[in-house]
Amino acid sequence: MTRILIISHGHPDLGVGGGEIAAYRQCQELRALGHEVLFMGRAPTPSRRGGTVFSVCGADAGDVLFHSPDFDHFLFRQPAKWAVYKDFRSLLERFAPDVVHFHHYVHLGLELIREVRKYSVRVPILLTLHEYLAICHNHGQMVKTDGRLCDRAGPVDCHGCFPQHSPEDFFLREMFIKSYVGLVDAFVCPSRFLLERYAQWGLSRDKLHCIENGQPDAPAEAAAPPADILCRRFGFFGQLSELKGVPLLLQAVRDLAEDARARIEVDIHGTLTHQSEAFKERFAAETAAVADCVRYQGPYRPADLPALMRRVGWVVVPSVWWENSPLVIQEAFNHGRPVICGNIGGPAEKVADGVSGLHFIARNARDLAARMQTAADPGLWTRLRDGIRSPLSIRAATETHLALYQRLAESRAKLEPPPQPEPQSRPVPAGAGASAPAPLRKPLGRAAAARLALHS
Amino acid sequence: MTPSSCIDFAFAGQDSLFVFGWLVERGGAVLQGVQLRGEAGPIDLAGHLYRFPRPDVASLWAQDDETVARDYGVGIAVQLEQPLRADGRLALSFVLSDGTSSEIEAALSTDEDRFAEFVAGQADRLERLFAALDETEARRLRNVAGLPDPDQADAALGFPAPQIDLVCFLTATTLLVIGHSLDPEIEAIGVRMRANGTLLRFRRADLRQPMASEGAGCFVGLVTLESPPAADEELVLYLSAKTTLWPKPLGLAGSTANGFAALERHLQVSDPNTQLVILEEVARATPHWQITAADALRLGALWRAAVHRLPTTVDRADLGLRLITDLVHPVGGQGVFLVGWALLDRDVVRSVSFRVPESPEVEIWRDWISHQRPDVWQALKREGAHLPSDELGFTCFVGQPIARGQKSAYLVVHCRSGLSLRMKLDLPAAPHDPVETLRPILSSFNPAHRDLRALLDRHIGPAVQAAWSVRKRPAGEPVVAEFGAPAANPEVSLVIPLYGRFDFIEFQMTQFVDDPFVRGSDIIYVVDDPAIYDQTRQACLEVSRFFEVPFRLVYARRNAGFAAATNLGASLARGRYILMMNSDVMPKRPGWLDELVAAHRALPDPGAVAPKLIYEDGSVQHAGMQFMRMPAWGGLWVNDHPHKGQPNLAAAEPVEFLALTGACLLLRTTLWRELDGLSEDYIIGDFEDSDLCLRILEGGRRNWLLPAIELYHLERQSQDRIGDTEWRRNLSLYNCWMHTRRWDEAIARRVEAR
Repeated sequence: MTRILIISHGHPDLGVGGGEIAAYRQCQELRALGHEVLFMGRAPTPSRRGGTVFSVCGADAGDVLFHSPDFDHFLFRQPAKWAVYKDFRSLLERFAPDVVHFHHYVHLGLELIREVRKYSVRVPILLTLHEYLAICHNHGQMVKTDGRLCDRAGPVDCHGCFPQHSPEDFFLREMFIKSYVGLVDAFVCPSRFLLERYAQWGLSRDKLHCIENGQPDAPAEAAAPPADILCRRFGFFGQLSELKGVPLLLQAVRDLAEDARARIEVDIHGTLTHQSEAFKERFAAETAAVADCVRYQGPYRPADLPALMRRVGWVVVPSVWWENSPLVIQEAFNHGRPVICGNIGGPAEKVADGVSGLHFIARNARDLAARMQTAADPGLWTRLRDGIRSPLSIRAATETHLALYQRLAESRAKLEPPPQPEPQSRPVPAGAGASAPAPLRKPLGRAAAARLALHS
Repeated sequence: MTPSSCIDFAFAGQDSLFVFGWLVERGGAVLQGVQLRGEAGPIDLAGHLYRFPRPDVASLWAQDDETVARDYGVGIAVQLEQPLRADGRLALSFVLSDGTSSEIEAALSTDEDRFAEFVAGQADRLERLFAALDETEARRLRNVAGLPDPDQADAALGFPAPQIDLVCFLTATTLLVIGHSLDPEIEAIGVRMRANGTLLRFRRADLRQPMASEGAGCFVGLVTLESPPAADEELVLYLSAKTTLWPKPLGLAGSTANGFAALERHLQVSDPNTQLVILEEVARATPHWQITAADALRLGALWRAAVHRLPTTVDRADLGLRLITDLVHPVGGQGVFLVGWALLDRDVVRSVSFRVPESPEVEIWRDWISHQRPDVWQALKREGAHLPSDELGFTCFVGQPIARGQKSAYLVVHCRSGLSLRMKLDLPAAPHDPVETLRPILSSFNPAHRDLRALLDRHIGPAVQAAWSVRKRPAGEPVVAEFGAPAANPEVSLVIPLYGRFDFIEFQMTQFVDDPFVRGSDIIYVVDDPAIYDQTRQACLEVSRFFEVPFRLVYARRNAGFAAATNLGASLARGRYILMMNSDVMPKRPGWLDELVAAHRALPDPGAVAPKLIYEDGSVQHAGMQFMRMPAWGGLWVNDHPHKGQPNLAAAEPVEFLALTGACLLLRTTLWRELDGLSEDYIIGDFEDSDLCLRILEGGRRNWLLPAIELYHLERQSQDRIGDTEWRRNLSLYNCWMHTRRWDEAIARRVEAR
């Protein structure tokens, strides 16, 4: 049994987001495998109790919440350093993890990574990368503030997107972030595309590992409409936002001829909660304009997803940014539904064009419309459905992680704590100011490695 | 509207009436007559009314536009049929042109001593008034007033005799004589007593109208006696004019005691320019040690009061003279920096001086540097003024020490005719922050000036030097805060000043923390900015707990400038080497500092060594410095950064340079102390590094660039926060001037040799 600390920027009890769900699923799976896992999520509220940043939540109050209401979103810096060197440190010492796996640093602070390393040189540190936040200040999307796709970040280019921050600010930002992420032993990338972007940014390829998010076991095949019906039904699932490409999808439907529209149906599922009023009004108007074939079905609960997906033949992922590994693609494949997506980034990597779905020219509504017309063909649909390979299961993903933990722990176990700085000049005469002995660190690494070895 | 009026003094003689006072008319009405009110009904005195200038009254009512030019003095002298009833009261009615009248009452004196005291210094007016009286009464009152009888000597001259207005003793042996001549043809008046005295001719505005023309000469002279006169001694003043010498018997008995009081009374009716002519002459001839402390104080007070009343410009279009100041900037008690414009005809003007009350005058016109003032030139051109040059502007630093609390000084334009004109300079309190003292000086000039070197050598340079030299030293010891256990026996002390931004500490810590050599060094941050100290200290508490890198935070309790801050930090250094380091220099990788030290040990005759510095985009920021003459800056030497902004080409072997940047510079602590660190004569942060490097070279050592070691430098990220780039550029120019003045010969020699 291994003691694993999983750190996420949220907790499923506090709200639903893809990253938190993936982290929590992994936590549950590890617990199911008999490991001792502590889940630490960040809470956006101030700490309810004085003198500590922590509170508890989850089943049996077994999860820890790290309250961090203020945050430096430019540097991902924790303004309350004591929360790191005092509170987080005491949690580390108490739980004494063998592995620390970060699913994010946003809202928490990059400092947590260094605190783990200060705590022990033998504990492997992992970081799962969900988007391009370290590279791109524009919400980590690598989309320029004027809407163009961005291929590479740089101080001058980034200053172009954010004139209020000088190129030097962006230089310091990168230097600052790298000084912390450089301490990480392994980065887990759910897509090859994201991995390449981080390699281009300067992370060592040796440390980058591509592991897809695991999916729950595929649901039992239930009754579904026949292929000639399904192939004419398209579904959208997810946040109704500009970046997720909802307006692009509506534009594509508008571009279809009346008779083409008459033959298809489009179901839109998802929430508008975080959108601006202007966007909501625009969405309502544009949906109304194509009411003959588009139905907005409103938000859905994760539990209802299987039923909703069974109703449609195609899942459309019209995102206008690179994406990483959208959960909806894995879910579609899990339900045997081919995907129509843009030809860029994570989706293009996950969906094989002409095998498990169709690519359109990203951000091009007319091309999406053409693909949808092509798609309304039961033969094509059946062929692509049969081309889907079932996605990685949570169990398999978790085992891949465990194997990685073990490799890292073994190489870390060989390390000794760094020596305290030796006197650099000739020693001063005896009695002229002997230095205090270096504080002792709790030696944890070897025992942890032994436990990991036993498990395997 | 009711006029304002006042009776200063009313005197009843045996059968005469004297009234001195003033009246300011309002609303366009003018004084037409005056009536004496009494039991027997009003007596008309209109024919005996005499108006004369009263500048003191004019200045009091100066809010009315026309008042200055008009005569507000009211004098009445009338021979009466019979003596006035001595009930001690006088009642008059002033009759105005609009038909209204104004009634006034005053005390009526019969005391001849008071009469004599009051009229001392009013001789000229009295003579005019005495003409209205019987000869017998006039002679009697002349006698009372101590005035010479014109019949006795003056009448025989055949031309209008010069008149004596005031004669009094300022010291036991110094006699002050003030008078005037109505004859414009008298070019010189001499005064003889038992010893030679000198006389100065000047023009008195108070005598200009209607008593004398503009050309009438007034004079002030001081006569030094060989010994104090005996109490019963009869003094005779001999006036000479037009080759004639004649005696003036002086009724001086008993007047030796209060000469300054008499002078003060005399000055009351003079305009400030005249007052200052007299006071300057008095001061010249009566040094402080000869007069009593009380008289010295009185003289000083009179002087300052006169200056206070001066106009703030010289504007005599009739003489073609204009003098205006745009900036009067006291420089920390060391002098005054003046900027303005002037129209001065060399045929009319002899000199222009700066003067502070009770101090000698300083000629400034000869030395000031002119510059173009297109705005003034065009405005004057429109007026049709004769403009000999378009360089009407001037800049001048007057290096005259000025006592604390001195609120004003003045300029004197001396004309070739003998006329002198004065204008006041209000001296604002000097700002406490030396930078605030520097800023107006540095903002005042255009670096493209054709005579930039002279402007810097004579005015800007000395003024800035003076301002910088008097900056306040901090009160008390610097504050030193120790964070973490100090490294034992450190090899290097990193001295890093902080100004404006302190977040660089955390950025640098992210680069220091994983470098064991740097962690074991003696890191000293010096806060050079009172505005950030508390926050910085607070942040350091957290940063040190988190990073566990020991360092010290030193605070000088002031903004001392880059050099002083570095010197302070270096004075606390425990390492065998000192690394000057800017807070915006960021290491690229661990190991850089041990490599710098190793290179220093290995190189021949090492003085200072520096790494290559690169910008955040990877281009070159610093790869050695070279000296280059800057033609646009009058040929001053500037520090050029070769290849700056160009792609960073491959690293190479150590290269010798004359100078290296101080942004990251390593040298032995012993050498640092031997050279006494950085020069603090440069301001805010410029040229200290090349100055240090040149001193290292002059000591026979060599400076090496190590291109194989690279760090980032986000140049001027903290300095730019000072803002206001124009004066900053001129500050660089000043530092450059200072540097060239010090090193011109050495740089030329070394550049030549390479």
